[in-house]
Amino acid sequence: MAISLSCPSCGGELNLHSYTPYVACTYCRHILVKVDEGYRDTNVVSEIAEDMSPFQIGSEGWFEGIHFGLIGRLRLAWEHGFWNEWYAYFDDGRFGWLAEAQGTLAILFEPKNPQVYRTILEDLQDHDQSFLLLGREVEISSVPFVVSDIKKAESIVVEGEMPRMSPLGTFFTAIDMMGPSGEIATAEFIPQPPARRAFVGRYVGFTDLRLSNLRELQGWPRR
Amino acid sequence: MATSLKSIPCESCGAPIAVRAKGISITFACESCGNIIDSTRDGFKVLTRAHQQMELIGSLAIPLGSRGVLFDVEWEVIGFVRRQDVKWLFTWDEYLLFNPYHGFRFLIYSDAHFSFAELLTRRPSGSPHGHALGFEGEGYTLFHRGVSQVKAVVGEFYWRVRFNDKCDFADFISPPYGITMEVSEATFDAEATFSLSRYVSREVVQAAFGISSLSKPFKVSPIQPNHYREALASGRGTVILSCIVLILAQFYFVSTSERQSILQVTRTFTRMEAGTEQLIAEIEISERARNIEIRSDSPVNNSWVEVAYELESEDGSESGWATQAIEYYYGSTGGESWSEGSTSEVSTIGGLGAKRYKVFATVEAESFSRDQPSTVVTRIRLDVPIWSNFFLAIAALLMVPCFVLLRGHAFERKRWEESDYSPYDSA
Repeated sequence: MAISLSCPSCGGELNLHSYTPYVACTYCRHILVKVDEGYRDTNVVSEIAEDMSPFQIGSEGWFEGIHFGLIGRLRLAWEHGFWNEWYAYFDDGRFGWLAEAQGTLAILFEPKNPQVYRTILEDLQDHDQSFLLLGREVEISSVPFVVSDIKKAESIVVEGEMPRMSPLGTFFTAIDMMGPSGEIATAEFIPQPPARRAFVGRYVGFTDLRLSNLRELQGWPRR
Repeated sequence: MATSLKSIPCESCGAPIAVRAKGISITFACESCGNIIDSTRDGFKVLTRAHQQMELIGSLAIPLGSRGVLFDVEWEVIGFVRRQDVKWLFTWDEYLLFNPYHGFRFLIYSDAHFSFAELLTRRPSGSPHGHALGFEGEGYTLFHRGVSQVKAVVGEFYWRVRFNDKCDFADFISPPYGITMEVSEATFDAEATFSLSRYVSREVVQAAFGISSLSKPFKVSPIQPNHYREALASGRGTVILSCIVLILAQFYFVSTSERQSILQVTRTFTRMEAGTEQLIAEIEISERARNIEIRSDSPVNNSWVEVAYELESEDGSESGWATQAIEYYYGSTGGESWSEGSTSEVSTIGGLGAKRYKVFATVEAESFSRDQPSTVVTRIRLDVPIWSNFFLAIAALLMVPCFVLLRGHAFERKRWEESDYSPYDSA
């Protein structure tokens, strides 16, 4: 599916994968929101992401035998660094995320099973006392995860399509959990407007994803 | 946040500081003055006007910005940290390697040995506070536990590096691999991290980064592969196979031996016959014999007899010989009885063809000097199983592996000399 759209702010021609609730214009960086009759300009402008990420909107790859493509990016910052979350469509109809932090990659999905969802979020709701949570074991679908990382983060850059948006610059709590054989789960607690989300998935190796249409990085030709 | 600059000016000395992992690095340490600069979302901030040992930083074994291919990926050296064990004061260097596609690795340089490390995205089994960890089916044994401190830092990092930062660490080994557990004492918001390291030879690193003149290692590193044990493991199959072949051959030989007795003759030799060849029997070998066993018995009593046998075919084309010394002594000294030697002797001679043979014996005996005769019972059997060659072959076969085993053991002892947890230390 491909949708053509004219940016209500700058008039630039945008090609979308689907009628995703939020879109950041490629040209003017204005964030647009889906309304009944099309997209409306929120008048919020995203910064430009400048980093050494090898990914870009349009990069494609394979995960567990399913082809996927990247359609949006969220860049996040916390006290001690940055990371990217790439919004991806999968050819089996699912949408998921490719998380990219210091070269470590993971593919995550929101769990369909509400029980899994509840386990993660209820186990972690006292996240404000984060030091108490570190190292805690959380069992998700009978896999023992250990809380490995807790940070306060904010979204700083949006590109392309996004299923939902917290206002840029709003801090939320992100909790990472590590499984025994490459599993990863994350939970997000957003204070304003209050929301909680959970994701489960796997760490992946760069070469395992058989990527194509990557960004060209100056000084780093791909062999 | 990071800008499109490829370098930032050092706010202290003005020298340009390279930015090689743009948008990822958050700490920069100036190569010329050693100041540490933090990148924040608002810009750059000088943190420490550190008095680093600049002469040390000026002579990095691998300069910042060097590129080299290790394990099929090209890496750029972007950071350097020297750490020190706060108790034992030994130091080691960590080079941060970067590739925008593959992320980060560490090249660790310790006691002139290199290892290549990667952060793990899964937890090893077992407690990091215990003496063993399990990872991907391998057991890792505790080698060292300590506290490290940052003593020098230059380049850029994706984490906040602080001069004198302390870190609890524990090294677990399964050569050529190791797992290091680290918990930073500076932050409480991260659990223990685990990294997997792998031994890399100095030659490989030198070739990869085009450097030379690195000094030769003089110690055994904790995860240095034990080549003796590797050789032993790779040669084990061959040795076992050879042993099996030898055992099967011997088994075949023993089971097909007929042990055919063809002669038993008793002959008394007199002094007159001393030292001269006497015909004692004639034998017929009907089928080619693989070997011939000659056994002599003589009732020697604190005395000796020496018999030299010669078998000669009637046509003179084949012959065999054996010399035997039979001696038997006994007595008692200081109330203790003793005996030495025996009254019989056995020799085996090699194969002889199917022919008729004359058996000659030449005898010397102690009894001749007393003018007494000497009696010798001679028995000849064909195709007896021989064990001595078999044992010699087995011994020869195992000699090299035994030597390698000992050297391998010595190597392990040397490896563990540096550890408080050596399995070779008897407490």
